[in-house]
Amino acid sequence: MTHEELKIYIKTLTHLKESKIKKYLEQVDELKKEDIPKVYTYLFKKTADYYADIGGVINKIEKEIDEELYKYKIAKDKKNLDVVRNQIDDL
Amino acid sequence: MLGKMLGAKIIKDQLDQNLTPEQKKILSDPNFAPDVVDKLGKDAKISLVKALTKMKKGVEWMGKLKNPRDMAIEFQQGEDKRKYDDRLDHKKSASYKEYADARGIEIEKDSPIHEIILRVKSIIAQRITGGELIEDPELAKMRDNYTEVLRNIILQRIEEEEEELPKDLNDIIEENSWGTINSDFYNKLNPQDDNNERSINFLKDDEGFTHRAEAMIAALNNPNTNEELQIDEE
Repeated sequence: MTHEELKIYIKTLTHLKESKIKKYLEQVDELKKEDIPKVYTYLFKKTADYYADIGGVINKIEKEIDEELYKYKIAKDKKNLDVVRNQIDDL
Repeated sequence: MLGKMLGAKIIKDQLDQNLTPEQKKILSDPNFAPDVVDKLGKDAKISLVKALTKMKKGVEWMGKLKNPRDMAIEFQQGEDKRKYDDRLDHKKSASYKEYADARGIEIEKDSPIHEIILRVKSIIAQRITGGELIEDPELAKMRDNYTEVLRNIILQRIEEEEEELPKDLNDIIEENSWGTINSDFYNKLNPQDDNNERSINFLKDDEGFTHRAEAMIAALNNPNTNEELQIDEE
């Protein structure tokens, strides 16, 4: 990986503040050639962890939503059942 | 009251005024039979009338949706997105923006994070309503609550990420311990790569990677030549 390739990669890290990206970009040219893959590896791993976390949270929330919807459906069915029961009682 | 007033006749009247021939074709579609339109809920009817009104002004995509329910949903989704975009507009105040401002988080409209948040909102809406219009206030409240929770979690995670990443790139090199997979191994993994001298650095605390690398090395070692690939530690 070259210095320029690392710069291109850093520009894709748009979940970071612009100021941080800008600072990183300014520092890339000062890195030794052999350190470029290390920086890339680190940033890549951190970014993967970040997106995995977000994905995990979404999955968790989706499960919660399913549980809430189930409760909601049961409550609604019960309410409908009560309406029907009352109608039968009124007959 | 408005829901009761919005019968199929009123909707047809809306269509009758100054429609193009193509738009009038929609009227003759069986999907627009009075009983079909009347079955829509109050919110859907309101959205449908708004959609049809917009269509009269020459919005072409509306005419492509012949199902009144689809038209109402499409219109409502467009409205939801527009309102949401307005909330993100930096000129306007919103709890989400206040949250970001208080923590010094800069999120530009149309940024990938904005897209993630919209996608999350869409996932939640889809999950809760199956893509239907939300006419039940309880479901709408549930959707909004979960959207807010997720939005805040994402923003919080962004903030943590900012704090975790070092200020200087050099700190990344100095603050971590590294191993290197030698170039022979790299070349066996990537035979099409022209750079024969390339090697891979890996974080030594990335246990998952180390285990995978060791497994790959074991698989790649050629017993016929006694050649062994090594992970070199720096």
